[in-house]
Amino acid sequence: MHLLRSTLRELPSYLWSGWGAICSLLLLMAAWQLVSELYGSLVLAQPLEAFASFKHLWNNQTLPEALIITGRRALSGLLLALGLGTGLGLLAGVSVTAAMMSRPLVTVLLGMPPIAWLVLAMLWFGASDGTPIFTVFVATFPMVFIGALQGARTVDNQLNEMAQTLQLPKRMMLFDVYLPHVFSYLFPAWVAALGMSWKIVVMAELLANQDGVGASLAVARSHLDSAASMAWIVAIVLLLLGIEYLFLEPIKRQVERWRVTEA
Amino acid sequence: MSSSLNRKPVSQKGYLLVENVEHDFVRTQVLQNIGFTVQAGEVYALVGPSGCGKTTLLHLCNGLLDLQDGIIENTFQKTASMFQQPRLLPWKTCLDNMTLGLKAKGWNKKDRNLKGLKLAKLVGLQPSDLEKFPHQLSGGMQSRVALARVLLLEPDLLLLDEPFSALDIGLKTELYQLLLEQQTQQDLAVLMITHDLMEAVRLSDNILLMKSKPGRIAASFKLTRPPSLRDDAWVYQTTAELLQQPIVRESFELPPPTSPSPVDLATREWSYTC
Repeated sequence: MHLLRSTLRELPSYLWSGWGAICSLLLLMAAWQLVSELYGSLVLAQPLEAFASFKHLWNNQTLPEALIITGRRALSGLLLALGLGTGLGLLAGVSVTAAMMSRPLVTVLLGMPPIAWLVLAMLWFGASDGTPIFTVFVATFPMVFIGALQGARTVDNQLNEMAQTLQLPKRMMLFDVYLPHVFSYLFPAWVAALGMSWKIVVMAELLANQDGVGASLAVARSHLDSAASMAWIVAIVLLLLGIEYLFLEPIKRQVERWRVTEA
Repeated sequence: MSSSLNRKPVSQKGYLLVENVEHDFVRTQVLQNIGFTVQAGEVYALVGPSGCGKTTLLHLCNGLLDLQDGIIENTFQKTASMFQQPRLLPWKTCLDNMTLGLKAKGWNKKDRNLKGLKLAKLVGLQPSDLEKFPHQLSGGMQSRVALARVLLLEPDLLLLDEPFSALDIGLKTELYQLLLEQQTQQDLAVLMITHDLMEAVRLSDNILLMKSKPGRIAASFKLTRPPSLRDDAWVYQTTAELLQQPIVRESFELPPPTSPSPVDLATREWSYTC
């Protein structure tokens, strides 16, 4: 509650700082325009064409519907990975043996390219929702797992001793000593997993599904419709930017206030 | 337990009794036959070279290590410890760090903040400092917070593991002075570790000189002059006198004195037993 209030209080000044970001995005737009004028609309549609297509797709409900389908798949896989990864990672971090045993396994999982998982998932789940959900899960799980494991393994023994001599009860040990530390490792892992899940889900849909943002992108490509392709890409990026800067970044600033060193 | 209660003359206020304590770390003996008693209002200093087991002994007293052999009896009501580092929780503001011990005792936020604010002034912390996170404060300020965290508990036994050793000499003296004021006012018993003999001479009533390999008490010095009457000259003089003692030189592995003592040993205000 306190967190929410202070986040809202700092929102205006935070939003104001967004002008700089908008400027650099507009420069990117200009470069886009330049390239499309050089190579023609078939190779790269002009920004305005893309936006018109975007508006059209939005108005005839194709885009919102696809976003909801894709969002649901990404979130299902992500939530599964967050839950299992956090839980198992913490458990593994508490025991030295489990940490030693799981580390190489997780390294293998991390090193495995998501596209390889996708191939397997298509064999197992076909064109169902299972394919993107599984691929998102399996690609983000090791990141979350490693974050939780590191967090649990690196709990500061000095602080632990201090807390013992102050005779902190178990509940306070958990909420005041262990969890804030673990969370400082977990939160960045969660954020990275979220970004990852959004990219993976589009890739999975592009190859495996009949609906969703990825599938629509595949259709636009097969029609050689450069404007629609760019419109879909813009939608994907906009959503990711929105989540990152309107949702995660303000939370991160509040949660990690104690880390920031004053310049 | 009760038999040792009968053996020792005991004041009403509590005591810390250490008897025949031995401790091993994987076949290496780190403590051998340690024994002493700290009564209420007494300041004991454990002095010795690095690695002689001082911290191990202190950890046995505050329960961070399990006792292997011997007796440690602590009948004080509230024991508090300070470590070599401030050990503040980086994600809590200084006020929350200070009042952590009170929170553990179930005080509500309003009461503990009120008490914390009062004590903050005493240890030289500004109200504006209290809202800050530890990393925003200097090392000296962090030590003040750690000191306040301990004093808020109103302990009757303090175990100090060189808490101010990283600070400059002025700050160190100031914080020790603060501590001593509390000590005399509240009849605190203090067991402190230091490798600085002069610090021990300035602050303590009894100095336990430790020797290493295995850690044991080589000698015990009793300082008769009350701490409030110890000026710099007396501290330098007494430290020099103690450093003339063969047993002290041996324990710190100093070479034997080359020239005859410049210090007149006739005026000494201390006694020692081996």
